[in-house]
Amino acid sequence: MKVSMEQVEPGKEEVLIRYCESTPELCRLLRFLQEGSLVLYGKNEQGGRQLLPGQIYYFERVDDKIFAYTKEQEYQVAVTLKEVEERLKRHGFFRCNKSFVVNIDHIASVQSQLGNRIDAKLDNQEHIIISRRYVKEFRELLKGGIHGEGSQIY
Amino acid sequence: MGKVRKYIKIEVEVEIFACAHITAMIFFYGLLEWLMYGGSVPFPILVGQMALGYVISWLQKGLFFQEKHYSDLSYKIREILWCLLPGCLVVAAGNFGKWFPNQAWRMALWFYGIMFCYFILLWVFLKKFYREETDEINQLLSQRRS
Repeated sequence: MKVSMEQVEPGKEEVLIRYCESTPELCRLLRFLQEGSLVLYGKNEQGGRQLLPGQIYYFERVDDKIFAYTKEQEYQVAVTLKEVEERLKRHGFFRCNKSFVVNIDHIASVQSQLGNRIDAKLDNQEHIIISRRYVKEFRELLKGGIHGEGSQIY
Repeated sequence: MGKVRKYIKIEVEVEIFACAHITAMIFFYGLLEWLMYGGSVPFPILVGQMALGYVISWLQKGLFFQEKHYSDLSYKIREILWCLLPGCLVVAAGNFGKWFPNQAWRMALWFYGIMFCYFILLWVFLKKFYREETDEINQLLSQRRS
């Protein structure tokens, strides 16, 4: 993609996107421009780094600590699961059981199970269970799209 | 209260499966006994099969009990265990509980074979049963992606 920048007078700033077909990548870029980026700071034995929501597959609560899992690493993050759930809703994250918040964009396929549970297979080949309590919300989320909320860095 | 309700639901689910397993075991054991020897089934064997059905049902539930993340390999192993472990338990219980006298080895083979097939077919049936719902959600998922 060709990227051009032009300096203009104050008050005349704008971003123009020329596209031939709307893609999820484009929608994400648009969302990023409209709402700003949201960055989480995570740390593990190898040090700390900033994590973009798209890099995170899921969050897990283990003994009151919250861990964010990327494709190959896990990081401890200083947020609660409730905060993650609320602030990352519009980035496709959703509470799937009492200890997990998963990124729907990384769910490769699902399989309904007995007891109204859903087994979600992620694109890193891991399986996560969506418990019966959250199945309805998951379906609504898939049908209705993404919730909107303010963005921030934390 | 929420936890109690949750465990009651799990117990109900386990008992539904236990009923299916118990019915299958008692039916096939009784049928084979009737076809091959024309005899009746002793009460201790019936009680043993009832207890085993309940244990197997909890064991199957236990394999996927935790709402955690499973690696693909771990998940597949659990699926295989779900199908095969109950059959192994039936064989173990049959030998331990002396369900078959020495001369009834043919009946034992038939019974164990049928029970292994039953658990595998039950797994296949459950997959089929939830297929429509699974397909529907997967479709929603791919619609979201596009």
